[in-house]
Amino acid sequence: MVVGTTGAATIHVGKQHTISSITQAITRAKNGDTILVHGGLYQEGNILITKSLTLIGKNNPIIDAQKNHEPLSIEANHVTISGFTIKNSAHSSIKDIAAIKVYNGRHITITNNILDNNFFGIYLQNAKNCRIENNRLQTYGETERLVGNGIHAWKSDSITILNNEIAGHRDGIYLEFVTHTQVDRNRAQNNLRYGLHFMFSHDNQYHYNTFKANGAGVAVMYTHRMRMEHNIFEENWGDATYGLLLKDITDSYIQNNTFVKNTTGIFMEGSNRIQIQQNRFENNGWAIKIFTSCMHNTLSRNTFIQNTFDVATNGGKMTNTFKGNYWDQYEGYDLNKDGIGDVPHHPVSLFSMLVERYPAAMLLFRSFMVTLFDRSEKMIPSLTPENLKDENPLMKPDKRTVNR
Amino acid sequence: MKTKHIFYNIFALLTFCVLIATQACTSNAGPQPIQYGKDQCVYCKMTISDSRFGTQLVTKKGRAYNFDDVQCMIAYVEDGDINRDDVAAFYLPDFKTSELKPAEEMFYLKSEALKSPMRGDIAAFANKSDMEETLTEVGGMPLTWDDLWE
Repeated sequence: MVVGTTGAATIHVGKQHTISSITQAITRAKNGDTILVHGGLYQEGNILITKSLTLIGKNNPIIDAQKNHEPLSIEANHVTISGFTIKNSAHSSIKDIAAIKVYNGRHITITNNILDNNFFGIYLQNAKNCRIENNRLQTYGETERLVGNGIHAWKSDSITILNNEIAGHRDGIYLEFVTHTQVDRNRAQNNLRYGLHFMFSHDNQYHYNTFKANGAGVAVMYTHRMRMEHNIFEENWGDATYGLLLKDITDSYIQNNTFVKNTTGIFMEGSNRIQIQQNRFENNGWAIKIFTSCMHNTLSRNTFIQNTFDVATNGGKMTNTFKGNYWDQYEGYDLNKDGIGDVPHHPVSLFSMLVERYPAAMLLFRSFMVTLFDRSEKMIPSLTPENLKDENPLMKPDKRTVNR
Repeated sequence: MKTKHIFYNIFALLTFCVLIATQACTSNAGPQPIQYGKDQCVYCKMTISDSRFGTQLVTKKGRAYNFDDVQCMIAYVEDGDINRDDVAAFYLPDFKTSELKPAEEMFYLKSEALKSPMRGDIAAFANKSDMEETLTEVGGMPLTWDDLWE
């Protein structure tokens, strides 16, 4: 029996070629073929791919949906889209229209594209084993209602999202009911809500991403077994804005990240058994807000520098462990020169407790009375949780947190 | 001259009192605007960004609590963070216009296709015909306000 390796064909599309439309090429193509699209403007409404094809753009072909269509819909497995500029998708309040939308696909590769002025950017629905790499997504939403997410995955598994740049969308990357996914080396900046947003998505990891100046930072919610490592969270300023918002997260790792210039570096609620290690918190309003609904978390070898408040909480009971962190607000001493302070450090100040209860009290910050309160509280803790302390504070920052 | 001064003072004080009084009266008169993209959901802490789903409850004292999804508002009350007897009114946005309207008067549709922020997936409609139109478009189940609390 002859196994059918009939040799995949390459179909050229362009003004100089017999086939001038992508849709026409797809109609002619067979599974496994390559469609090489040459530079030019392609206004074909919706382009629907129902076969296993490789679409390669040469000399930057532009697919323009003229605000009336979904530019590219994929309803097949083993499809590659590479080297296109795709712009002007339609908007809708009912349908999630995207520049590239994958419906129930497996082994889809989307690389080196520029997506400009679309509703959603890349949208995966019931997808598996997909790769989204080196794309640049930009949109220009004024009101948030009319803006979709940059890279959006829903009920998907084993997705790799690598080295993309996303700006101006609602959430840069949004993952809902998504598992076993890797989000690495992306840059999400100036998105309207979150740079990265996980909902009900377990066993995922994100590394070496930069989230800068997004409306509300990064949110990880209702999710188990996450690894969040070597990321930068910076300049997420605003009342309801957090470098990293954690809500109902369990058994996860937050390691070697940098939190710089955020209103709140990490906000934690209902989150348990998280290892927060070797992170750097610098120039934040609050480095960490950890609520009493959080249990059995460990914070160690972190570096706290120049934050207005290092740790804030809302009550007395605390089952979280703080050990061996560096606190620039530590005023103890190290007589035996072992690098570890000889007296414990209480990172929660009385004033931060007051502000948590009465935000308006912030007016009194750095006043003489407040300093006096804080001093006396340090001697005899009354309001601040007594067991929230670092028994062996470092005298110098852990080297692994200094610079990336 | 001096009496004139006093007269002005009294006048100013009266105006001030009237202003305060009207303020107190108006605070219960309806929903207060939600600042999309700025305000935070009291329950889930997410930024409220989708005006089709942002909801509000106003207490009898006139304080407004905002939510990004009706599911969060109901959970907030059912968790006992606020007593239902202390609530003066619940407001939901009309799915078509995003205008906040009293919850009891609206028509509801639950459909997975609606994809609300916290996956309550419930939209509210001021007009029954709008609800039915969306129902034929995306499918789902029509509900009443009381159904949402069961």
